[in-house]
Amino acid sequence: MNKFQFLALSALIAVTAPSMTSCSNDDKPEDIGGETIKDVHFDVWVSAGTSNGSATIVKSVNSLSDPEEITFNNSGCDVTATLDEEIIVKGQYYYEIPQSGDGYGKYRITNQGLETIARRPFGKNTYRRYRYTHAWLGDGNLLIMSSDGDRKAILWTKLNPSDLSIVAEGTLDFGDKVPVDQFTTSGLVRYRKSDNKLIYLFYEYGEYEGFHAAFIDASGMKVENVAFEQRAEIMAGSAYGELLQNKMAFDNNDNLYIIANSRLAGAEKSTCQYGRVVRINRNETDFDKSYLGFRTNPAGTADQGKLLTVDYMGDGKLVLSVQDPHFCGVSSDNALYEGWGNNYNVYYCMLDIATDKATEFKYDGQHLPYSEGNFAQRSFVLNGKVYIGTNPKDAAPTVYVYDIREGTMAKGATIQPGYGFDRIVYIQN
Amino acid sequence: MARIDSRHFILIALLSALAASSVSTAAANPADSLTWMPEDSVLMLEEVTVKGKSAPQRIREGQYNVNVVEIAPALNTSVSMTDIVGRTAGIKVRSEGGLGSDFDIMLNGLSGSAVRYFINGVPLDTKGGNISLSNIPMNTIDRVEIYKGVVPPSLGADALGGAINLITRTQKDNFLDFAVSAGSYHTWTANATGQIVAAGGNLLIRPSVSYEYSKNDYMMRDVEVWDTAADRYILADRRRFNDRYRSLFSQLEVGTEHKPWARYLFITATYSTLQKGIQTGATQAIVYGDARRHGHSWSVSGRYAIDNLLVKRLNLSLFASHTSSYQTTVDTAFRKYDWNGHYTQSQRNEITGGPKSMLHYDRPMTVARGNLDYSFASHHNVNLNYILNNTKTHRFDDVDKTYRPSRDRLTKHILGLAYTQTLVDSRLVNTLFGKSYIENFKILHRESYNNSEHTASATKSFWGYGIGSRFSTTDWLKPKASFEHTVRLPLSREILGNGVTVMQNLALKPESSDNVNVGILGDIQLPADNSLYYEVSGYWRDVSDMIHLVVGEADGTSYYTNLSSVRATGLEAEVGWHCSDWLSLTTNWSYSETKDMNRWREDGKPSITYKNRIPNLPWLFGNTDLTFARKKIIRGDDRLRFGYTFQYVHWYYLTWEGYGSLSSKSKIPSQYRHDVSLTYSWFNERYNVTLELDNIFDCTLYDNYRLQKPGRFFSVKFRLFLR
Repeated sequence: MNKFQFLALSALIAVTAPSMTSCSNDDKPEDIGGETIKDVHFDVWVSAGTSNGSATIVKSVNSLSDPEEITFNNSGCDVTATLDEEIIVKGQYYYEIPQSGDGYGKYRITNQGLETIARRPFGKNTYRRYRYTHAWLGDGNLLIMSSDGDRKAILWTKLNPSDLSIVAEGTLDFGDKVPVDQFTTSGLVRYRKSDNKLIYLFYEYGEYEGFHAAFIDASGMKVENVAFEQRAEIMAGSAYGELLQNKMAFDNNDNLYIIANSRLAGAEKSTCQYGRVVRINRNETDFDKSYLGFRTNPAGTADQGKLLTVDYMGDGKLVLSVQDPHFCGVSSDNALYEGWGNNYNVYYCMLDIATDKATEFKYDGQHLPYSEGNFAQRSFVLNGKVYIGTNPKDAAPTVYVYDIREGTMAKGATIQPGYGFDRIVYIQN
Repeated sequence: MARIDSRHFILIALLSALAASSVSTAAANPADSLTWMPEDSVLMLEEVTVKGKSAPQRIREGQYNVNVVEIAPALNTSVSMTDIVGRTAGIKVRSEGGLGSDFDIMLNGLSGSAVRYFINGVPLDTKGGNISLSNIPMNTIDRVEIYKGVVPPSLGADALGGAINLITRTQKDNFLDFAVSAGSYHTWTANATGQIVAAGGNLLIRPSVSYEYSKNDYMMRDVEVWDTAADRYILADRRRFNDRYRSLFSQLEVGTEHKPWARYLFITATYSTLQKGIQTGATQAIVYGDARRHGHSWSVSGRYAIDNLLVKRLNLSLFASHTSSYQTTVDTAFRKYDWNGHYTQSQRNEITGGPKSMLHYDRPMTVARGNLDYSFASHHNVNLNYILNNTKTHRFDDVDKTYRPSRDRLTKHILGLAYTQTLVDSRLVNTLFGKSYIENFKILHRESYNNSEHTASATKSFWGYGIGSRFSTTDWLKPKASFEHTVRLPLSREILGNGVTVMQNLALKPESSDNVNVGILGDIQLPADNSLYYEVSGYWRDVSDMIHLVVGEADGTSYYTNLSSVRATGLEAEVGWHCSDWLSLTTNWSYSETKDMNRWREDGKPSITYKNRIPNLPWLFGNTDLTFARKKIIRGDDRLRFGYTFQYVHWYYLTWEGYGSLSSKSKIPSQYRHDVSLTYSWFNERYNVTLELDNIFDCTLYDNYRLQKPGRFFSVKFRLFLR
C-alpha cells in the first residue's frame, strides 16, 4: 500500500466509521422500557361461558413466543369463586381484596390450583372489592387508595407485601382546599421514585371538565400540591385503578405519561371519546403544558381514538391500545355509538413522544388484526420485548412479540378459540 | 252385615248419582263404583264404597303437566309452603337460609322470573310485596297446583317455565283453625284462620292472622374468623347474628256464596308487615351486621262470580284489587362485621360500599281480571280470560342525598282464549289456546353524564299459543302431551332499572320459550286395599332471548339485556303406594339437563360452552316421603302419625365443568336431608300435637354456593281445629 492508498483508505474509514457507528446505535436502542426478569413464566387469563354462567380460568405457560396453542380443557386454574381478574401482580404473587371483601389477600396461581399465601383483615380503613388503586413504594410496601363511601375523602393504606401487615393507614389531608365535592371511586396513583412522591389523579365525580393530580410526599402522605389538567376531560380509568389496565407509564427518566379522554363533539353517547397523552415531568408538580400527545391517529386524523392502555416501550416511544371504530373500519363516524362496544375496534400502536407520530404495529407487512374488548390488558413490556395479545374476529387470539432492539415482530402463541381473552401477565419463577 | 231401609237406599242412590256426575263433569274416566244389593224393599249390604275423584286428582289427570298437593295433611306440621312445593317431582327450591330467607324455585330446569305465582288465579303480588310462598299462612290454603311448562290461559300468566297457583280453603260451616309452634333458633309461629257463618248463612266472615318470628341464629360451620393470637384466619363455627325475621299477615274476607245471583261475592282486605336482617352477601364470606329491610303492604280486593249468565253454562268471574307495597332497605351503619359479631368502624355502608342509605320502594299495583267460561253441546268449552296489571314504582332515599328519586309505570294486558273439547266418551280431552300480551311503560329517562331528563314511553305486543291433549285408555294408563309457545314480558325493574345502578333498556324484548311436555300416569288398585300411583313425564324447553343483567359502561352501572338461549330437557318420575289409610310411601326423582345454547360469545366469536350443561344448577335430585298412621292408640278418637322425608341433591359444579383443572373447581356438595315428625291427634283431630326434627343428622346443607342453610331443627306444634 502506497502513501496515497493509505491516505485514501484512512479518509474512507474516517468518513464511514462514525456513520456506521451512528447507524448501529439507531437500530439497537439502549433505552428499553419494562422490567428485566430472567426466570419468568406467563399467566393467561380467559373467561369461559356466556350470560348463562361465566368462569375465569388462568393458565400458566412457560412461553408466549412459541407458536403453540394454549388450551384450557381440564387444565388451568378456575378462580371464579375466589379471585377477580382486576388484581395486582408483582413478582411471584397476586394481591387483591378478595371476594369476601373483608381484608387483603396474597395468592399464587398454578395450573393445579390457587394457593393463599397470606390473608389479613382490614384495619381502620376499608375498601371495596376491585374499586381501589395501588402503587408500589420505594420501600417495597404496597399502597392502596380509594375514596370513602361518601366520596368525601381519600383513604390510603400501606401494606407489607410479605405478610400483608398494615404498615400505616390514614386519610389524605387536602387542608382547606379540597378540590372536589365528590371524589371518583378509585382514582389512579403512581409512585415517583426520583423524588419519593406519589402522584394521585382524580376528578369531580359525575363531571367531565378536567382532572386533578395531587402530589403527595410518600413517606408522610402529605399533599403538597394539586395541579389541574383541562386539555382532556377525564383521565382514563377512575373506578378500577390500574388493577387490570395500565393507564399510566413512567419512562426511564421518571417522566410520567398519562392517558386521558374527552367526549367527541356531537357524540351520540358519552362513551364516544378521543384520547390524549399528557405528561408530568420528573421532579415537577404540575402537568407539562408544553406536551400533548396523540393529537392524531396513525392515519393522521386528529382527535380520533379512545386510549385504553399505555406502556413505556423504550426509545422514546409509548405502546398504546386504542379503541377507534372508524379507524378499524366498523363505523363511519366515531361520534355515532354504532361501532363502539363489543366490536372489533381496538388496535395497537407505538407513539413517538418527540414527534407525536403514531405507528401501528405490523407483522409480515400487515397491521396486527383488530381486536375486541376494551376492558382487557393484553400487552406488556418485558426483557426488551413488547408482548401484544390480539383478539381478532376471524382467527384465534394470538400473541405477537415485538423485539424492541431489533425492531422485528414475531408471531407467538395462540389461544384456543371459544374463550374471552382478557389478560396476559408475567410472573417471576 | 248391615240392614238399611228404603230411605237410606234412596240416599245411597243420590250419592251415587252425585259422584258419577262429578266424575262426568270432570271429564275423567269414571272410576266411581257403588256396590249395592237390592232385595225387594230391603237392602242388605256388606260394604258400601263410594269412589269419586277429588279436584286435585281431576286436575292431575288433565291435559297439563301439573303437580297438585293438598295442604291439609301438612297443617299439623311445621313445614312451609316452599317445603311442600320442594318435595314434589321436578321442583327444586333453592333457599338462601332459614325462616323468611329469599328463595328461588327451579321448575323443569328454569327458575327466577320464569316461574310465576298466583292465588286463586290472580298474581300472588296482589297480597302485597311482603307475601310469598314462604310466609303465606298455610291454613288459608287448600291445595297448590304446580303447572310445569304449559300454563293454562285462565291463569293469565306470562310465565316461561311454569306457574304455581294456590287455591284457598273453602268450608261451609263455622270453623276455627289455630296453631302455635316453637322451634330451634328462637323460632315462633302462630296463626289462626276461621269462618263465621252469619245472617242465616247469607254472610260469610273469614278472618285470618299469622305471625312468624325467628332469630335464625343457627350455627354456621367452618366460617373464617381472624385469630389475633395466631395472626391468621382460622375456620370456626359461629352463630348467625343478623338474620332476625318477623312477619305478620292479617286478612279479613266478607261475602256470600251459592246464591242465584252469585256463585260467590267477597270483599277482602289484607295487611302485612315484614322485618328482616341481612346477614350475608352473595356468599357467607361477606358478613353484614346491621343492614336490614322492612316493609308493609295493604290491599283491598273484590271477587265475584255468577253461573248461567244470560244463557245456561255461561259463567263469569271477576276480580279487582289494589295493593300498596312499601319496602325499605336500611344500610346506615358504617361498620365492617365479622363472624364473631364484632365490627370495626368503616368508611362505607355494608352492602354496596357506598354512602349511608335508606332506600324506599313504593310500589302500588292495580290488578283486574275477568273470566268468561262457556260450555256448549256437552263436549265443548270456551274460556276467555283477561288480566290487567298496572304497577307504579317510586324510589327515593332518605339519607343518601346523591340518590335521585324516580317514578315509573308498567302496564300489562294479557288476554287468553282457550277451546276445550271432550271426545271419545270423555277419554280424549284437547285444549287449544292463544294468548295476547301487551305492555306499556313510561319512565323518566335520565342521561348520567349531562343530567338531562325526559320522559319515554312505548307500547309493545306479543303472541303466544299452544295445545294440550290427554287420552285415557284405562285407569292405569293415561298418556298426555302439551305444547306451548309462550313469552315472559320483562319486569318493570328489567326495563326501567332502579334509577341508580341499574340503567334502563327500553329496547328489551320479552323472553320466549317453546315448551313440550309428554307423560303417562295411572292408578292401579291392588288387593287388600292397596293402591299404586305412578307418573312419568319428560319435558323439552327451548328458551331464547333470556334476560340478563350485564355490567354497563359507566362506573358501577349495569343494565338488563336479551342475551342467552337455553335448552332444558328432563325426565321425572313419581311412584306412590298407599295401603288403606295407615301407610303411604311416595318417591320422586328428577333428572334435568339445561344446556347453554349460545353459539356465539358477546364478541361474535364461537363460544366454547355451546351445548354444555349450565353450571350451578342442580340436575339430579329426589324426595321420598313415608307416612305411618294408626288410630285408637290411647282412646277411641285419637290418631298417631309418623312421617319421614328424605331429600337428596346430587353435587354440581359452580362453574363450567370441562374447563380448568378439576382440582381447582368449586362444587356445591351432595345434600342428604332427613326429617321426621310425630303427630298425635285426639278428639277426632280437634287437638293435635306434633314433634318434628328436621335435618336429624345435622348435615351442612347448601342450595347455593357457600350459603349454609339451618342445621338440625327441632320444633313442637299445637293445633286446635274447631268446627
